[in-house]
This record gives sequence, C-alpha cells and structure tokens, in this order.
Amino acid sequence: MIEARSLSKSYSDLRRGEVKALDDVSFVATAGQVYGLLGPNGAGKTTALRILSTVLEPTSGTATVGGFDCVTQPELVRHQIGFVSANTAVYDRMTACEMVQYFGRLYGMGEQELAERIDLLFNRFQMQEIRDVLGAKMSTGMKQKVSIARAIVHDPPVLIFDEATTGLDVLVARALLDAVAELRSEGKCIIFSTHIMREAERLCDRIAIMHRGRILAEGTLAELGEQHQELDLEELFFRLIRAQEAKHPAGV
Amino acid sequence: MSWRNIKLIYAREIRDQLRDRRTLFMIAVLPLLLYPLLGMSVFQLSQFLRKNESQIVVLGADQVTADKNLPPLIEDGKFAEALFDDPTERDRLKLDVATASPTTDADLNAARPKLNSGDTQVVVHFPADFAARL
Repeated sequence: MIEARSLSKSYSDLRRGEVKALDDVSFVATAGQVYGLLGPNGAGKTTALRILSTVLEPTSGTATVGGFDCVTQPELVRHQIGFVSANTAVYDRMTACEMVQYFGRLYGMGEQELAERIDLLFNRFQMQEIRDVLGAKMSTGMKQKVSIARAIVHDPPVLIFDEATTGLDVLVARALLDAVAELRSEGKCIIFSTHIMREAERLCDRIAIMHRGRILAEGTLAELGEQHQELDLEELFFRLIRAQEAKHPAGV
Repeated sequence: MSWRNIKLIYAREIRDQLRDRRTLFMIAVLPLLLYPLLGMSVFQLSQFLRKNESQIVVLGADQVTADKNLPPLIEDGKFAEALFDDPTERDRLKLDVATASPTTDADLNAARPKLNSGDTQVVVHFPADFAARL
C-alpha cells in the first residue's frame, strides 16, 4: 500500500550547509496495518510524511502510495490519502458539517454520496450535536474529530497521522487512538508518527525508530525486542539513540 | 487544480469574509460612516480656505472723492491700492460704483434686493451730506 525506497531529502542551510532531513529511508506499510514512525523532534518523521503526501519531493529515492508514484502522479496519490496532524486547523467560521462537506467537494464527491458519507461519519464519531457548531466555538476534542472526519470523508485507503495527539488531553488523545484502531480494523493502511512510546506500543503493528533522518531499527514490537535484547520500547529507543549519537555526534 | 475547485475555494473565502463581523464592519459599515464625515470635513475646510470674489455696491462715492484732503477711495474702478496690505485682495473686491449723485433712498432700496439675493455681498453707502459733515 505504501512503499518508500531509499528516500532522501536534503536542503541547504546558510548556517549549517547541506542538511540531510532524510537519509536513505525505506519501509513498506500494508493495508490493515498501523505503521509507526517513532522518533524525537527533528528525526525526519514529518519530512517523510510530507513526501508521502506529495507536499515535498524527495532529493532521491521513490515513494508509492496505492501503487501511484508520489512525484509523477501526485493527484492520484492525494486521492488515496487522508492527512491528520496536530496543527491541522479547522476554519473558525465554518460549521463542522460545512467543513467536511467542503473537503468532500474538493475531492470531487457527488452531493448524494457526500451527504450519506457525512451522516455516516457524524454518527460514527458522535458528532451530530456539533454538526452546526462553528469552528471557533469548538473544543480541541471537537476540532480533532472534525479533522479526522475531514481526512477520511473521501474514504481513502491510506491515512497519515503526523503527531496527531500532540497537545491533546488524555481523553481526546485516547479517543483519537481508538479511532485509529477502528480505522485499522476496517482495512486502512495507517502511518502513525509519534514521539510517545506508549502510543506506539499500544497501536502500531510495525515500528520504525528514526533519528536524524535515518531508520535505526524497524520491525514489530516483538521483533525489535528480540533483535536488541530489550523488551521495553522506551529503553530500546534511548539505547539506539545514544548509540547513534556516539557513532555520529551532532554536526559531524 | 480544476476550475471547480477554484470556484469552491473562492466561494468558501467569500463566505468566510461575510461571516466575519469585523471584516464586514471594516469594508461596509465603517466606510458608510467615515466617508460622508470625511467628505463634509474636507468640504467645510475648503469653504473656509476658499477666497471668493465679493461684489460691492458703493453709493455716494462722490462724497469721498470731492474732498481733496482725504486719501482716494476708488482708483480705476477698484478700491485704492493704498488701502490694502496684500494687493491681490484688491482684485477680489468687484465694485459697482453708482454714478448718480447725490444718492437717494430709491438707490438704496434698489441695492437691497441684490444684497438679499446674494448677488451683492456689501453695500457701502455714503449719505448725501457725508462730505459736509466731515
């Protein structure tokens, strides 16, 4: 469903010179799977997700989503994905219904199909009571629900969550994780980027631990524990990061 | 980007602006209040600063010119230049000097409608015994 092969992304920085945001990153995520990208800030998670969502072009390497190439077939790729991030804003002066409707129309959905889909989503996420509430008057939890509904209104096979729980309270974060698990059970392929170990442990079928643009380890939770003789994900994470930093100190 | 999506985005932006009370106030209500106010202020100011020509009727001017000891009041159909600090002021005062002498009440009554209608701003009347009383 998603295949990244040797993805690299470099950009030149006036102060630091050539910076590698992504360095030879490869992974495969399949339908009905939550693939976790786990890493500290600046690890390259968002860069990888932006390439997959066609916002950025890789410097080298290829990425395909649902069989479509992210560089040569960006429009087809965009129809395959829904993107939710922590800073996905909702419009202040649009109601929940109008906003989901707006995005559905942008995806080219017909009015009848869109109305049915909106009803389905609003019932599923218990959003009927906020149907006519303006974005400015919504709580963070309501906004996040609208963001998810907006991202999946066109029923994409692939969903990308980029640190979507950042800034949410425990209850809202929990509801979002439940929604992700439910979407997985529907057969969606989900890329879930986070720096919260607990979320990765709970949700992800496969995890790639990233640091400074590289994947340091990849596999299921059990495989990672077995490979590195460490069952605690947080310990494993710190050990890998420390080893990488000892090998390649910052700026070297 | 298709034209359909451009129209959708345009319609959304317009609706967003129309729902923003502050923007609406700034683009619709404030100009309605402010522009007439500004217009009136500028008009008033221009009226204040404008230098109009004034029509002056002088009746009985011969009473002043008769006495050679007095400085001249009228020269070349205008008030004498010596009476003004700024010579351009002189050109703005258009004189209508009555030639009939001595002036009568009928002359004065004839000038009054012009004064009332605004055609004449000032009527200067020297009575028939003005020179004698001096």
